[in-house]
Amino acid sequence: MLLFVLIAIFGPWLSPYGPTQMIVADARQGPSWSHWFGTDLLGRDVFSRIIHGARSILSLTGLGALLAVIAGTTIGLASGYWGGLPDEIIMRVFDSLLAIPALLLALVLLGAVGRSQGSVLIVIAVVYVPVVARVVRSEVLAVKSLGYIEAARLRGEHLAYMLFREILPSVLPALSVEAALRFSYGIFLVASLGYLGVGVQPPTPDWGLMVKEARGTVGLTPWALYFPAGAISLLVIGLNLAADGLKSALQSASQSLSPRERARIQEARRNGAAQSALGNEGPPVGQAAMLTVRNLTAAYRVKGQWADALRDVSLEIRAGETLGVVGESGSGKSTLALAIVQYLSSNGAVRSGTLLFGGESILGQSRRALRTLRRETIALIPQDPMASLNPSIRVGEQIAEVLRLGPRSRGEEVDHRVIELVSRVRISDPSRVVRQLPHQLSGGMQQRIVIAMALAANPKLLILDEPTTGLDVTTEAAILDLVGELLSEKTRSALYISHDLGVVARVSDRIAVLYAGELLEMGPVSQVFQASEHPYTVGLLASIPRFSNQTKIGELPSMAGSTPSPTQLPEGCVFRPRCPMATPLCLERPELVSSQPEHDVRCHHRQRVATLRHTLFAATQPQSDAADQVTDHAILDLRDLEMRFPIRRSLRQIISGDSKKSVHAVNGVSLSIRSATTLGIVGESGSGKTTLVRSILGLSPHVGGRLLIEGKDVPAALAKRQRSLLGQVQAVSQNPDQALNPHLSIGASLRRQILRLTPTSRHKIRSSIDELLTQVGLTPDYASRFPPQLSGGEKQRVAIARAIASESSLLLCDEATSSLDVSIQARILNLLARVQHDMGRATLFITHDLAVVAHVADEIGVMYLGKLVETGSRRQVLEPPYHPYTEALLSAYPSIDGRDQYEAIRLSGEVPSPVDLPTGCPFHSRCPRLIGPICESLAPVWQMSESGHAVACHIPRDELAMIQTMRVGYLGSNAEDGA
Amino acid sequence: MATYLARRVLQVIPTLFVISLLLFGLLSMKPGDPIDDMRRGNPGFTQADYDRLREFYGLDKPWYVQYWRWLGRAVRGDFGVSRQFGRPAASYIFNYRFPNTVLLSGLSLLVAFCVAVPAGVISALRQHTAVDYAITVGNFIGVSIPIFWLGIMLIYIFAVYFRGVLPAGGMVTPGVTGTWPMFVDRLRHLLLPVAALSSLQLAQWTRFMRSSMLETIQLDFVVTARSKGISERKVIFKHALKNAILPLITLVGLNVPLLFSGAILTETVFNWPGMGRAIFDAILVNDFNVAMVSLMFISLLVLAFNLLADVAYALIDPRIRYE
Repeated sequence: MLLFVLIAIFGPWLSPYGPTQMIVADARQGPSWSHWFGTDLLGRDVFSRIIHGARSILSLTGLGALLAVIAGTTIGLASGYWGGLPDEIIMRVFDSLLAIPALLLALVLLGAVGRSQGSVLIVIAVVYVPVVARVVRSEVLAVKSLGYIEAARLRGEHLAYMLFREILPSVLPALSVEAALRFSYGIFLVASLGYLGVGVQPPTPDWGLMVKEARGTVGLTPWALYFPAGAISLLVIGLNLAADGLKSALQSASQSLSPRERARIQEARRNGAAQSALGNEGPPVGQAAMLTVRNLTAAYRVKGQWADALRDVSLEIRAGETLGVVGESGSGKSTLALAIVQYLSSNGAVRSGTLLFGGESILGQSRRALRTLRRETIALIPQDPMASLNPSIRVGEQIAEVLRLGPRSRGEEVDHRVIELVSRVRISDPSRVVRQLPHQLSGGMQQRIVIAMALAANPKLLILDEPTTGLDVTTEAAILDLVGELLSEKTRSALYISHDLGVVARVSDRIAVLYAGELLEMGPVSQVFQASEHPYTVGLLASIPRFSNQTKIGELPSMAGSTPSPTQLPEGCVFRPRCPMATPLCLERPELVSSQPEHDVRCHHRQRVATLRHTLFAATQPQSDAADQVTDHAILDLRDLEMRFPIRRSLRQIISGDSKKSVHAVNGVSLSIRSATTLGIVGESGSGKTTLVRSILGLSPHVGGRLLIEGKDVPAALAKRQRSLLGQVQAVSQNPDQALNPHLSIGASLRRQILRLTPTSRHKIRSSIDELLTQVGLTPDYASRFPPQLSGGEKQRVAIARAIASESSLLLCDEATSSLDVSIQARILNLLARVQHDMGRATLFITHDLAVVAHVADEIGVMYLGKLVETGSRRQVLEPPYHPYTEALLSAYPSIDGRDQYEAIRLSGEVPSPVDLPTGCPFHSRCPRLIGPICESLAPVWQMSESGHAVACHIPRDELAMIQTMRVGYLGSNAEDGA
Repeated sequence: MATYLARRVLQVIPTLFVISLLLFGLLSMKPGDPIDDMRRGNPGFTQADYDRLREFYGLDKPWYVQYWRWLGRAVRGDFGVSRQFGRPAASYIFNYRFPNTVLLSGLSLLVAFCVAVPAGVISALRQHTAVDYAITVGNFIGVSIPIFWLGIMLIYIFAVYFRGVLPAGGMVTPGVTGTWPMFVDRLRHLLLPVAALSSLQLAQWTRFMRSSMLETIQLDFVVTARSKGISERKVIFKHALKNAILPLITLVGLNVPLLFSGAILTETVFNWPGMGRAIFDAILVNDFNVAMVSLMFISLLVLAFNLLADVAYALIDPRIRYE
């Protein structure tokens, strides 16, 4: 490529002859010393003409492509960002242009503007503008809804800044690849036009034209054809290579491995298998052991070195037993599952250790043997059921496939067995479900099908890798019931992996705690949870927010730091840098020692852990409510707020005059938040809680009701709000990875926020940034870092810093901790609590996690299908729950405190569609305490108690109270209100 | 599905309208007065004749008035008369040119698709082997050689060097009769142009198919299929292939304009009497009506193919339900 550019620039000095200079005596000569590439019919030197042609074609196409990129980017940015009618018109015109083949469009254009080099340039630009614009537009649409773009909108950035500072950098990678591609296509186009004789006109040396001229005389002067044609191909190859290189350079780290790296991985796998065979002769395997993992080290090859994701892990699963494995992200728990079934990704290998299944080694098995093993003995139930089901095959067939491999695999029997299996996983109407495709089923149903599929081969060992993560809590509860039921039969062993201690506690017999690739503690559930002897386990348990019968809990005990990466492990004990009990002794790696039978711990100070446990749990003793600060001053007031998204009508609906339908996301919500208090809203997916936040922010303008901030009506649309108002309302969103613009430094992100929304003068800005960073527990040197260098928790801290920069009076947190590990979540929750306490902010905290809401909120609202169904103080709503939906949510929650003594309440069916809202009470279709036709026909009115507890239910308050008293013997805080 | 189809078909109308407006405007901008061309051969041509003829053909009006009149006639199926051939432009194109182009492009598309899918799959399944490298290198060469050059080389090799193993151009050999000999003759004429025209798409689609397949076999559901213990062949053909082909179908639909661009070049190189050449000639000699009707028709074809690709996608991928 470079060569061509150099030739194009310096060509004229290099070429021995003028491009049109004719040396008649030398006409029709083959390549020789004086004419490297020979001469053509007229005696012109081909080499010189190619060199001059390079200049012409490169500059024409280059400039043309550049023009197209500039114009296309501008149009694409603006069109994508604005959307609406202008966008639609522009895109329709571009669609039309794109429907005309490029060469034909070029011909027509050239006809219109005449034939010259200039017009060729314009033609290239015009032909490619729509292509570039479309690419840019689609990139813009992808970025537009990300957190950092919305954050910029929330501080009222002007258009040019939005487009060129916030959006353009994210579009650049795709744009540069596109530019290289356009360049290479442009070469084709210019050459083709030259060949057709309508582009650059003779006698200008043009490669396409040269091919055309030489074509008739290919027998006489073949070199005059080969060389220019070869030049075109070489140039295009160069450009394509460049575009490819760009693309792969810009793609994430999931690049393909070099042959040498692949060989290394293969070798490591072979070595691991060989060692495993040796390990077979080690100590005898316990009689009952179904799966034995001994000293397992599994690693991934990253950037030319091994990262040991699992180190020296030994465990055993006995027949009929369920072993739960808990760990935060980076603990290596998924690697463990994948290593057992031999599905490590292409850059992974088991480097050493032994994996025995029923005494037989799994490592080093032939492909065929492995297939039999997977088919008959081990089944994996992965996290995401939608991804693990083939989208284009009916679910029944996907189960039947497994059965056909086994004995008795004739048609009818298989069909019969499929139905049997589907009913086994508690799916009603199995004969209908088996004919459906995965996307037609809900997430919970999909997971049931995956479980049925896993059961089909009647495996001896089930490996469940976070099977309920990503499901709603009521769905999760139902799936856990099913899993618990299957495992309690004790006919098969299971390995249950999860980050959620409550979930693991519910299904496991024993628990193993993994941290940074090492097994730190293992023992029976009760031992590990109540009498843990490892500081990490204790810290982890303490950092989980819990329900409590007491008043609002203070700070959660939390661990400093975060999980180390496998390439930067600390010396000695892996937990040492975060451990409150660390001593110099810990610089030596502790062994996994079992003191009591069945309870193994890897810690030098296990005897002292009990003291830590006492201090940590003592720290969670009740503190008084922050009642002294509470005033009646309402920061936010919503009155019957409504938000609907219109949905597109089909043609028939338009013709038949059907009324316009819409998604009723928020359906008449009234609430208020006083200063220095936190209102927690809890609800499952589809409850409209996120839309509620977006409406308050103005990102999804509400269409009905009133929105008051500090007593003043606020316009629905963000664009109509004044800047002072923008500073008052700020938000922390769910996904920390999207919250910050990856192309701007932390300092730059914060600076912009301070400049836009506070009166801080420019020379003080540096100290304001430092102060903010310190406030959220980071050091000032973070200002110069970029988001990709930060961990999830750190990013969320920066997002909080940004939200509090403007001294906002209202902070909206939308699932602000949902994507974080528990130990990190604890610290973010503490930070939020402190920030609120210090500044007297009002906070709206939206989450699906009941325990988090119970921990942070002073008041709680429960939301279902766009409506609030119960509101009140934390104790009024949770202790005990009144509304049947709140009750079901609480009952579904997998708590580590264990509430199993009460009869579980499970919801049937699915959340109704928000398009056709159910009549009467929105919850009637799933309500376990339905009282009659009144629920279906009449919307319930709020039943208020004197102290402000409100329930929207037809069942009278005292009856609801009675139900709870009978159910759990509760004499909660509401008793006096209800009477 | 039906309503979706109806909406998409209806959407074609405004798009076609915009296209016709654009094309008409551009073609009218072309310098050169057709009446002037008539005058050249007729010494007795007076200014009065000139004015009368201009008025007769409506050329004295501004282009948008002309466009309005053209549109009025076009919606009734009247696309005017070809200035070159003196017969209705539309029937000339449909009867003599269109079938030839469809034959050439359709066959090329078919060949490219039918070769690209297995080649891409093999390349992906045998990743990092000699076969894979050979196919990848072939692809790179394929996307880098201009069609016109490839065409010339093919002619030179097969028609010149091997002295007429295959014909150098045209569509029929005069004097060949009988169904079977005519069929063989047509096939011989098609071989080289199809090879030249399909090369670019073949290379692009193979590359695309390879990466699509590589991506698909890493997806969770393929891993699930493997973990069930079913045979590798079933994993690939039953579970992976269908899902891997899907994105290729969209690409094929989007590549149709590229195919027609290639067809113009191929038809020029091989002297193939198709639409591409007709348009090219019509633009060169200012045969307005022929140019307009063929351009409109090609655009309609492109839109139809895009629609077809979307429909095919919807039929294969059950997740897509167009409402």
